[in-house]
Formats: sequence, structure tokens, C-alpha cells
Amino acid sequence: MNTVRLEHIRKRFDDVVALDDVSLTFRGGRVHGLLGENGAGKSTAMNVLYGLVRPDSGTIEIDGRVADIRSPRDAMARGIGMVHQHFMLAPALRVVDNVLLGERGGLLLRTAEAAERLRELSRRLRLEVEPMARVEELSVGQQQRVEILKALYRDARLLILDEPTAVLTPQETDQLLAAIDELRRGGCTIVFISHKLGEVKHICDDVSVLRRGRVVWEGPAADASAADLARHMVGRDVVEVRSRLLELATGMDAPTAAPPTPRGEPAPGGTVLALEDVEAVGVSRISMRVGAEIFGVAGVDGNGQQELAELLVGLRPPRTGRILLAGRDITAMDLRGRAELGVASIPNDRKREGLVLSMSVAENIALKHHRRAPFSRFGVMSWAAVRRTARQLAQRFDVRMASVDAPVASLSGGNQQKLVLARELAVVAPRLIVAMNPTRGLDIAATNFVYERLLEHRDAGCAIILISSELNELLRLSDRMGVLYRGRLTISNFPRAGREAIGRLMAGLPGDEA
Amino acid sequence: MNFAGAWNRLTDADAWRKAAWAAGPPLLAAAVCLLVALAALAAMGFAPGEVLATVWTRSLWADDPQRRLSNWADILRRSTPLLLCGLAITVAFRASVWNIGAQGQYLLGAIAATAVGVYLPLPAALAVPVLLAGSMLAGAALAALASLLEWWRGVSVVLSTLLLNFVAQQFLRYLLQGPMDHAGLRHSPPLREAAMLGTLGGTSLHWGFAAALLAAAAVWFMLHRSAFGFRLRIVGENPIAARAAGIHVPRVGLATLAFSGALAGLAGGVEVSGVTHQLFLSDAANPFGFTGIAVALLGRLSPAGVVGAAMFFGFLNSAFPVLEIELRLPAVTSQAIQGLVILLMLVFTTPRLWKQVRAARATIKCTP
Repeated sequence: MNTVRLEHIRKRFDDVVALDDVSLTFRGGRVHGLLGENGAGKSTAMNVLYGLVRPDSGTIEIDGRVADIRSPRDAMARGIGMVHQHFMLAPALRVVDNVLLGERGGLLLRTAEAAERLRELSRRLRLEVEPMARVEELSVGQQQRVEILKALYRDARLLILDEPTAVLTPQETDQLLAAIDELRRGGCTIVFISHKLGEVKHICDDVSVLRRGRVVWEGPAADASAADLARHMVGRDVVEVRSRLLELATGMDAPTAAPPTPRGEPAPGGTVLALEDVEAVGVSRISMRVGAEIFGVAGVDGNGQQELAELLVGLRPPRTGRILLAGRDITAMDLRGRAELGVASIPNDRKREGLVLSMSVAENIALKHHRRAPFSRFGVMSWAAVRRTARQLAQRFDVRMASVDAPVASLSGGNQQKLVLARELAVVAPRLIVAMNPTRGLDIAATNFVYERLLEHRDAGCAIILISSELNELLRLSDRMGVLYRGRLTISNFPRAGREAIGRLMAGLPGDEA
Repeated sequence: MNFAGAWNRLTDADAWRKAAWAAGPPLLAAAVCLLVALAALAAMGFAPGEVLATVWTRSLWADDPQRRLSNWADILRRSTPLLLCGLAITVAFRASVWNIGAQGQYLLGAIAATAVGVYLPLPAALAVPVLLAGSMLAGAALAALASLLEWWRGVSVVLSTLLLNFVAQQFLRYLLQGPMDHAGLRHSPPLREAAMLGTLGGTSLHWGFAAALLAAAAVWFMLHRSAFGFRLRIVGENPIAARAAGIHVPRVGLATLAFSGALAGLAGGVEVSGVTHQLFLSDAANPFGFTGIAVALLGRLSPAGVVGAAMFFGFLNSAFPVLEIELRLPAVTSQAIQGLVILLMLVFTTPRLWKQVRAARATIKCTP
């Protein structure tokens, strides 16, 4: 396989034009970056190539011949593989079973043989995975390797990676980029979907930028600077973004802004949140004080982030210790009581935890505080008051929507997150904000918006616990930082200790006591 | 009232198209059901024309106005327990609480109503309210038991409510063979006069129908205007978000099931007090609680829709006995045809199907 072409692809979903005459050319043995904000059409275009989405018009050509790809099976038969953002693995099965899943031919599975081949493949590409391990026991990074190996096992010559680094630690990202390099050397074509400019500049040979379903720029990666690409992605008309925040939002490695001055625990008078010997299921004993600052919590996913957030917002009762908010003991309070006192929560997964997608914007504004006047009185909802508040907040937080009665599912990811922010930050004045991956999956403008709100609230005296798997984000925003490893929170020497030391703590190695 | 606005709405083609898409499926479904049912009957040797004429003159539009009125009353009377059971299912399903036990809750409601109506010597003003309250309490208690089992031990509500149906059924059998048996006839003694619901204008329709309509309005208010109903819907749509918003999900589940059980129990109470006036062994075979699931789904889990669906089922239940008598349609055939009609209605009113049809249309339009 040398060249794969998408020719004049169009696709509409109801009233939204997802792809508007998109033509893309992927040349053999090269890494092709597909850049664009959320909703620009990157994933849709690749789902067309992979046979998951039927285009309304347009064709796919492989080596000059029109290929009729109607299903992922057709795509795989033609050497096209795809690794989705959300993995498609059966957690209870072993790695090798997942790779063989859907394989045809014969009644018997030759598991041992396949495992050997898989082991050999993973060694050659330096994507170490044990074929006999159960998928549920693997880390997210390892599961991604399984997905990649699954495609390569079926002789994929063109591999589509949809936002592959979004879920990885810095070390895992480096390993993935090395593997991509290795694949390229072996003649494999890679399509690398991302909105992180730094990575695209680093690994890609060619780049296409999509905006609102159209290709707005394409060419060799060397021909455009990261700043140019950012402008193409966002469109010239859009942003007046403070440059430090733009760099952050795009994941660019720009010259470091002045690092925050090192500081210790706040004085007792300036303490907003205090944990005294608190311990809960999944969280080892913590004692700390947080003032009006952004306290960043780093760590590889699954090391107690969710548990810590639940402990703070009141969904996980502590076994021992006391939690104080502005001097008041809130240990025994449930989420409702704490929310009334100003504990705001920006949950990890806004679509599952933060919002009810099938309900309207107004209903989602009332979700948490619907028992308060004026939202309800004597158990009867006042929808007029809810709508009024929703309209005001939507305007203040720049939530773009058809109306406050539109279902939240019809909003873009960025607007959904703005809606969460509006509810958490503006219905009750917050004192403590527990934010977990608040910018995951957001485009540049929305990411920037989230950062500005957090900084604004910190400056207004709020304590902010920012739990994130994006180390860049933490390094730039945090005043102090801790690292979670297996449920234990270690408070680091940041900013005196930098990325390197944090990385060691994330891996469970002795840290930066210096 | 803004006249220009109203006129715009009337002339807005888009609005008409949307309305047609909303009302079209059920109507088209009804037409297809009719055709299939007639074809099936024709295959069995019943002339379609004769069947239609019989349904029309003997059920829907009798020549004699008095007769016509009593036929309509019969339809509404038969739709009453279905409406209440349909509402019971609606409340539960909106919270994603899969109550399969409306049948058992209905029976327990009927038992409690009979016990109150037969054994409690109450003054006329109190007899009916206490009877209805008793039936609601009984249904709610049985349903709440299922919810508590889930809360404490993680027992699936689907299983516990389903199995409690059999418990209720056998309890009825035990009562009629023992403590409540009337003169060895295996039915209960009749209710006291005071505990019977009055009828409307000399027809067979009793005040329970009005109560059921009131219940539909109450359910609508609960779901869409009360804070509890808001929580109920949040739990139904996304229990994870509900928990993260500080809603106590098991507590909402318990209250929802109790509410649902109370409505099913009320159906039993209304039926005993308004129609049968005593308990029979054969009551266990009236599948009001199960049909309630079909009613609720056909009504798209909306109170107004459930009112319409219950009347449709009431019509079927009223028309088929007539066919059995007039055309000697075997009872088994009549049941099979009813089952077919229900199935077809559900198939044709399922939103997913219409989405697919629309998608197919869109594809046809777009391909050159």
C-alpha cells in the first residue's frame, strides 16, 4: 500500500455538516498529523476511512483504485487499522483473546501460536505487553498497546491513532512516539489525530488541519510553526488569548513563564481547607492545609484520584480524621451539605457524572441545587425561575446553545463543560473547588476559558484542588503540587523540584526531598 | 394572545411536519394493526367486512343512543385498571426502576380493599376512602419490600418484583380457600354496600375512572412539577450524575417503587370496589398488571399517552368479547389476535424504528 486518498467526502448528521468536501492524501511510510479542535471532523473523517461511518458522497482510493469500504472488516481486509480514543477491549479476557476476537478461520483458536506471534511483534516494536495477562489488570497505556498490536496483528499497513496521547503519562507518551517512529521505519503509514501541537510538530511528516469539516491547511510539518498551526486550527477571527494560556491549551512547549515563588503551607488564618489525619477507602492518611491557591495533584490514572475527589466533595466517608472548611468541621457532612457551604465539584467525566445529557440546559443548571429557592419551594419546582437563572448563567459563561430547553447532548464538549462550571461556580459562591481533569477533550478556547475561571477564583480566595493527568497543565497552573501513588498523597517540593522529580513520584520512586 | 404569532405557527410547514412525525407513527401503527388483524381473521374464515361491521355497531357506534352510551361506558370501565397499572409502570420506568410486579401489587391491593370492604364496618363517607387508601398501602408495601431487598442485599428489582407476583397470587389462593372463603365457594363475601363505588348515570362506569384520570394528572404533576419528580427523572436518566449531585439514589428508588406499587394497588382497590365487589380465584388470571407494562410502553411513558393507550386496550377488551358472542370467534383466537395487536403497536411506535426510517430516507435523498 502506498497512497490512501479520501476524495471529496461529505457527511451530514441531521442538521450538522460534519465533513464538507474533505480530501486527504496519506502517503506510504509517513506519519500524517490530523489536527483540529473538537468537532472539526477529524474522527468522523477517519471513521469514514475505517468503515464505521458511510459518507453521503465521495470516494476512498487505495493505490489509485476505488475501494468500497462498508465496515471495519472491509477496512481491515485492506490493511487499515484504527485505535479509538475509547478502547474497544473486553476487560475480562486475556490480551491474546482480545487480539483474536473477531478473527475468522477454523473452529479452533490457536491461542499459544498467536501469543508467540504477539510476543514477537511487541518485542520488535518495543511495545511490551504480556499476551496472557488479563486486559483489566493492565494500565491504560498498556491497553492502548494492545489496541495497536491488535491492528498490527491483522497486518495493518495504515494505522489510525485517535488522540492516542490523551490518556498517557509523559513517559508512556515518549514510548508511544518511539513506537510510531519504529513503525514508520518499517514502512507503515500512521494517521495521528491530535489537538496537541507540540506532539504533532515532533512526530509528523505531513499535517492536515481541519476546521468545521473543511481542510484549511495542509503541507509538510516543517513548513508551519506551531503558532501557525494553532491559528489555522482556531481560525483567525477567534481568540485574544493570553499567550501563556494559549501555550498551555495547545500543549506547546514554550519558554517557561516565570515559575511561581515557592511557598509552604498557608498560615492557619489563611487556611481554607484542612485535612487532619484523614483516611478513607482508597486514600491513605493525609494531613495538609490548603489556602487560596491551586493545589495540583499529579499521578497516573487510577492511583486514587477519583477516591480523593470523592472524599473531598462528600461522596466517600472518611474512616478517621477531620475535614475542616474555613474552620468548620464538615467531616460528617454529605455532598449536599458541603455543596451548600460552597464545595464545588468539576467531575472527571462530565458526560457521566456532571450532566444528564438527555435533560435540558435549564434542568442541568438546577441539578445540584434544585432544593433551594427560587428553584423550588415546598417541593414544587419553579421552572420559570430555573430557566431565568439558566439564561443568565449561560450568557455569563458563554454557553452556546439553541435555547435553555435544548438537551445538553446537543451541546459541544466545550459548552457542556462551561455549563458544568456555571452550575458549580455561580449558583452558590464556591470556597473549595475540586476539579478533576477539567479540560480533558476540550478545544483551545474552552480550555482557556476553564483556566481563566480557575485562576479568577483562586485570586478571589478560593482553595482549588486540581487533579489532572496532564502534567503540563499542573506544572503551569499549580502553586503547590502533590503526587498520588497507590492512594498515598506525597506533597512535593514543587516548584523547586520540577517535572523530573514529579515524574519519579508518579512512578512510585523516592522523590525530591532536597 | 399574539394573533400573528399563532398564524405563523399555523402556516409553518416545519411545525406541521414535526407534528405529523409525532402523531404519524401511532396512527399508522393502528392502521397496520387493523389490516393484519383482519387478514388473520380472514384466513380463519371470518369475513373482514362482517368483523368490522360488528365492531362498529356493537361496540363503537350502536344505533340506539342508550346502547351506544353503555358501550362507551364499558370501554372506559375496562380501561380503568389498565390506566392505573400503566401509570404505576410509567412512574417506575421513568426512574429506570424495572417494576415487573404490578400484577402482584394489584392483587394485594384488591385483597386489602376486600378485607376493608367486607370486615370493617365504616360509615358511608369513610368506607370508600379507607378502602382505597388500604389498597394503595398494600400495593406500596409489597413494592417497597422489593426495593428494600435491593437496598440491603442487592437483589435485582426485576427478579424480586417478578417473584413477589407469585407470592401475591398464592396468598390470594390461600385466603379464598381458608380465612376469607365465603360459604365454601372459594370466593370472598361481597363488600358492604357502603364500600362500593358509585356508578355514573346508570351505566356500568364507576367513579374509579375519574379517580384514575385524577391519578394521571397527579403523576404528570409529580414527574414534571415536583422536586421529587425531578430527582426521580434524574435517577432514571443517569444515576451516576444523580449521586454526584447529592441525590440519595436508593432512597429515591424506594419512594418511586412505593409510589408505583400504590398506583397498582389502587387499581386493585378500584376494580374490587367498582366492578367485582368481591374477590374471586379467577382474579389472579386477569393480567392487568402485566398489560400495564404494554400500556405504559405504548403511551411512551407519558401520563397523557398512557391515558390514550389504556383506552385503546379498554376498547380491545370490550370489543373482543362481543366478537366472541356474535361471530363465535373462539376465545383463544381472540386472545392471540389481541396479543398480535399489542406486539404490532409496540413495534410500530418504538422511536428507534422511526429513527431508522428517517435515516434511510435521508440516505436515499443524498445519493445521486
